[in-house]
Amino acid sequence: MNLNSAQLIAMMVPTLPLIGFAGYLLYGQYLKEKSAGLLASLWIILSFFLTLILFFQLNESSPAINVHLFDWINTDDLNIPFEFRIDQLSIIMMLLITGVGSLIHIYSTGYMHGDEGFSRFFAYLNLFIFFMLILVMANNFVLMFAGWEGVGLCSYLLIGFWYKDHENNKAANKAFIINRIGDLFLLFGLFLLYKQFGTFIFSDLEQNIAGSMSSPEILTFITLLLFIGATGKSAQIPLYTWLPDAMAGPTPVSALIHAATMVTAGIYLIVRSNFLFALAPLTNEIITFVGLTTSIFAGVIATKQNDIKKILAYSTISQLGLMFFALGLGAYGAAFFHLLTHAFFKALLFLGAGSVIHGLHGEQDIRNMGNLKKYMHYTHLLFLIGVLAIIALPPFSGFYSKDNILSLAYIQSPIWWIAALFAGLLTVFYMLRLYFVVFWGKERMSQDTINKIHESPWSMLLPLLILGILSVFGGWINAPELLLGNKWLEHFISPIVSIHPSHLPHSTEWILMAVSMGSILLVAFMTYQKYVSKAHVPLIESNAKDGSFVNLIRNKFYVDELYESVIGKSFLKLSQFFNSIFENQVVRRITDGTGQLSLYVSENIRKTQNGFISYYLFAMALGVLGILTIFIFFAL
Amino acid sequence: MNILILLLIPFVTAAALLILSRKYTQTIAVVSSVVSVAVSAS
Amino acid sequence: MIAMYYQNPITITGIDLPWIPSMGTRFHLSSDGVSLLMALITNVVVMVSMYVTLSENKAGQRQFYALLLLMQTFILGVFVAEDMFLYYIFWELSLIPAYFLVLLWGESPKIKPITLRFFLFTLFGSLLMLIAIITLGNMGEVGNYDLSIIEGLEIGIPTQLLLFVAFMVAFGIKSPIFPLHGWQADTYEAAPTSVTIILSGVMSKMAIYSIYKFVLPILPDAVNQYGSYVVLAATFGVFYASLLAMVQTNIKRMFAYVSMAHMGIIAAGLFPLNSNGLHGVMLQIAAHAVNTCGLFLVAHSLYKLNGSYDMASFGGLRQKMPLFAGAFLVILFGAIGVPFTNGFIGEFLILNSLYSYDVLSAILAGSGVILGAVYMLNLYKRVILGTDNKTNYLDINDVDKFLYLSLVFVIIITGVYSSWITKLCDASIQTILHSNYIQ
Repeated sequence: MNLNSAQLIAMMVPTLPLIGFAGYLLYGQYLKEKSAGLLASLWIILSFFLTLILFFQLNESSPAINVHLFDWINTDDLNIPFEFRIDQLSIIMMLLITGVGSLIHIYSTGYMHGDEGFSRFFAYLNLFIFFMLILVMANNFVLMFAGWEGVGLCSYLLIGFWYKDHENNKAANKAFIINRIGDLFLLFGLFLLYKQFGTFIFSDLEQNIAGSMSSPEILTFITLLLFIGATGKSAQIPLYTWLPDAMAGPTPVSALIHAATMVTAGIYLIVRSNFLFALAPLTNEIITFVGLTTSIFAGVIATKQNDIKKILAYSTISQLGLMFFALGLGAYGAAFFHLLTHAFFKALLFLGAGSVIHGLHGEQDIRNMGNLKKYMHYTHLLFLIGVLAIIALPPFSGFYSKDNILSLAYIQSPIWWIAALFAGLLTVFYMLRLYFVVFWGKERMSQDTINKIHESPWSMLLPLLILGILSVFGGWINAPELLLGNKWLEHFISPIVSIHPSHLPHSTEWILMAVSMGSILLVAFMTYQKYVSKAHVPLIESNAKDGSFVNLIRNKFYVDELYESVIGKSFLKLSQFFNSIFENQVVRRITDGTGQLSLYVSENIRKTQNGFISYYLFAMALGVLGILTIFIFFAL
Repeated sequence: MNILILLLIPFVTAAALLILSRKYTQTIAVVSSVVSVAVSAS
Repeated sequence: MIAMYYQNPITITGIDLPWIPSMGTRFHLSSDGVSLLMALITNVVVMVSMYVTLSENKAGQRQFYALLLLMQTFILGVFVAEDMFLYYIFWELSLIPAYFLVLLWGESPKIKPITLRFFLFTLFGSLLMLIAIITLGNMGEVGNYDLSIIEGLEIGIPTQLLLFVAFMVAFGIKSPIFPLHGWQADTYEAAPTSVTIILSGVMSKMAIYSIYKFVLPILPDAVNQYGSYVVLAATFGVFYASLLAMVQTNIKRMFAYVSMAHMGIIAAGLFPLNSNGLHGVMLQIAAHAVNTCGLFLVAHSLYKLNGSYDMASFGGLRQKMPLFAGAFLVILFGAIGVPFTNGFIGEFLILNSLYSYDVLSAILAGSGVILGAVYMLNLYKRVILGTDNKTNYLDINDVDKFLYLSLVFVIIITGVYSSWITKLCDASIQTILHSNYIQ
């Protein structure tokens, strides 16, 4: 294993977080809170700087850096190396993971201050970063799957971090189990892929597929299985129900895992295997449809939620849906771009929400907030930036990435454009509703709470500030020519994802942009009217006498209940049937019936037993000993 | 090394426990099991 | 011996002596990588089992240990016997100490009927196997039970089928494979935990090893034609046992079904007859031995706390016993096959080869992956998480700590570096595949 310096650096990137985790196991109990948090953050920050060094070694034409560490699985038919591949796509993901990861580690030193599981929390976070890096750095599907399941594992640990409350544990179990359902589909997709093409390694697969004449049906089937796997991790219909519940975890976890990194793994999977998906048009149509449906569906649910984190969770599902929509259209670059900007502003929003929750000592219901702009100036300002970015107002980052997706949708069909715009307008409504209800209007907290409101410490505000800057300027990395950019990101990842040609005339683009801006501003104004001018406050559940449809939304369309009663119950019934009826009626009879038979056969043998068990044993042992002794004598 | 040794270690120990020793039963048994592991791994 | 085998396989010698000349049987022991792996597993599992008994002061300790050691001897004999008659003798002998251990030191008031059922049912399988072996031994030049000679026999397909059924019933009972598992849950639950560890950790593997060692090379046509039925039964058993595990309230009984689910996947992995599947089987055998030790050890540690295996009598142990909770978590993740634990690679390879063999079986086996997460995480939630109720337990002591940490270490090391097992077994697997199945 002779590694050159770049390979060595690449190897160190995931190793450092792992050291952080192992370190907790070894000496975590001896560390004070402050040093434990600093040390854990330091590993990730170091990892980030190493990634930066690697990043500057890569340009859009440089070959991938391969780091072969050892053979992980090795039968003579199948060799799965533990090998990293750092190319233009993975380096951007690595920057995202370690960069946002560092910020969230720093933030957490403030947020988790005083928690009894402080250092355990950081250990899990370190472990998560390790697995997430494995996921994006792997050069083959199986190692990627290891990271894929590993992040699910960390997600489980972190959602259930406050394990004393069974609500959290339930949410953690749900997340892990639903993810496993997706994982199994993904796994089967991989098996079929292997059966067809005989390898799991990305580069070999790409070659084998180019050279093979496999039928489009099989490719459709493979890509569909992979996509179902992606819906599990990236919380799309039908496997999205775990993500809102996952908000039971500490807020930094929601920001890092359930907004910025892990949930985007599904997008990464499809971008990474775009050479497969490009050959499966039917799958792409399904992805477009599922993505758009999820986006609108989650957006609608978000309009009636009152828990600050749940709103953001549904918003995440909705934005991920938009990314899948773009993937289905073949706009891999645009989807990846939105993944990045979304990571910035959604992490910002979550951390901002965390700052609010922290300031209000655990309050999460927006109906019990109000006028926080008076008490938390910095949080308010930064949260506002996040809101403006997510509703896609220029010049914030979300504008660039959403506009990119919208104009590509228009090329395919104006109907797609309208539908995607509608999903975007839902975002405008629920995000501004959240913003106005929390930061404007009258204080609805108790006087006692008001007295205790405090702005968050610098350790929390600094990451917010950096994310705020990224949310403002992050869009420039892929600004189109129209807006004086040069589409740097899409050019950079062009070795993995070929550049999507865009053929809209500039005049059309300007018109589309104007229409979408106009409608965003209109919805924004209406929302302002409702929640600020009329000071509307969402009703408290018990007083809700709205129409049935509103109740339906408020109850999230009863999807959880449906799953529970249809799938959960039927499996339970089947288990009980097996346990109480089948085991006794069938299995027991097989056992006893044959047992009787052998009883009959061995009746005579049994009669010779004299009941002295130890004597019996002694005789048996002595006999065998005697026999063996004789043989040893001969053998030696 | 002859494979028979694997069988002999527990067998002889068992015989010893039954025939000879009334003391240190646990120690003898545990030592035997550790030796078995060591032999089959080495 | 494994280290020596790596350096040079011929340094490990066997023994071949005439035994009962009138029958033509010989005292023939020999070993290849697979048998060495099995021997190692046996010895490790017995060591853990011994450890479990340390904390108990049982009556008749001397007999108990002697029986345990005799059982170890005979099981090892099964794994290295090269003469089929000798193999049968070891197989039967290993049942006798198991029977007495369960009967005399069992933990259930219904121990007698349970043990009797265990004994008779297993005996039934053994008798079928005895008939099959005698038939085989008298097929060629009269009365030769040596595997190398039996392997060379040309057996007609109808005969092969009959022999296949006889063997598969015997091994299906021992493993157990659905629907021949009727003895298992009761016995595992009632047996002293140290014995349960051996029953599930090693004795169940005797069946898998025997299919691998004898059925695959001797009856290739029957395996090719009828193997898929066994696979279907075994994988349905995975689904079935996983569902049963979900509704158990007794921890030990639940682990019995968990063990059965895992054995179903392992048994199914034998029949696709390719290198991935068989390597997966070997990896999974090693993984299951360690994980099952771990699980029953957990059950044992819980039992030591308040003398109960009932899930409902625990809760919130995480607070007072963080180390135990952590070790349990790793063992649990090993059992449900999370990557970078030992359970993953074998399961991955087996499912992969099953998928090409028969999709329905792969789906049934795959259901175990999801259901496994359901029952294990629910168990963990109920026993370990939540708020501390009334109890004031101490965390595991130093000796326990050492044992648990060793298990955790093995689980993770084998999950990351599995080549030591694949390298060990490769020669044996290639021999079996190439002489019978790959032209």
